[in-house]
Amino acid sequence: MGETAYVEALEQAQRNWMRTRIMTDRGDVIDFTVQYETLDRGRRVAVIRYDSAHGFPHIDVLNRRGNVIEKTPLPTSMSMKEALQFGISDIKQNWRTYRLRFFGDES
Amino acid sequence: MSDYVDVDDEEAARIDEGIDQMHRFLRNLIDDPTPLQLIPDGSELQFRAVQIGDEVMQLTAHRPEDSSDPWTARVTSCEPVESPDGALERPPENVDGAPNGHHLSRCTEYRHQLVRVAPTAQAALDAVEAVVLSPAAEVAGS
Repeated sequence: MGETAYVEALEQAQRNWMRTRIMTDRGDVIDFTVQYETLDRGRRVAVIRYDSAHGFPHIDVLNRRGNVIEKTPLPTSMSMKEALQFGISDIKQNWRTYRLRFFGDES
Repeated sequence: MSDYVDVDDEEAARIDEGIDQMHRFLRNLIDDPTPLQLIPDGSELQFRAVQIGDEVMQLTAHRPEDSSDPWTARVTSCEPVESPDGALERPPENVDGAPNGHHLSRCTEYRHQLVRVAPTAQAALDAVEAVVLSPAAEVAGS
């Protein structure tokens, strides 16, 4: 069993990152976090997070205060590996939209 | 004052590519956890894909997050060019460790063995890429 966390700067300007944490056991994903981060007021902050904390894979949408403003469970039929893949694919397709919504939300 | 800056299409394409590279890295990490022993927990990563023949090598540079340490780069995976899009699976390997139907490739030879260290991620990746693209074979320590 191995758990590890990595972060990747997504461009040279160092304004967007992807942070991951993954725990595997013999080729199975048993726990994960994947989140898109951006720079806000000089701080690196999470915009959207897929993870399996609390025992079920779900999506957390965060505001600029770092609060979770929306928590949506993923279908229970998804394995952890499928949920991880879904999260990465969704972030790739929608990071720009999430980012715009994040900065548009001053609440 | 927020740090909101609109992202132009060129930068967006680089971000998309970065997400793809992390996806590829995790997909291979699940199937082959060897990098867990070579790339410390908490590392900052930078990736580069290099195609040689019908294979794509993923080069990975790493250093501790928020540090000014030098970067270490290595070959972390070898895949056929036409891998299933987005699937968290990779083709079965033959006894040589190469993708099924392939003989032991140069990529497999370099994977986890070839290591270069440099002050920047790009320089470390450049150094590894220069070796894998050179006609003469070389592996770390040789």
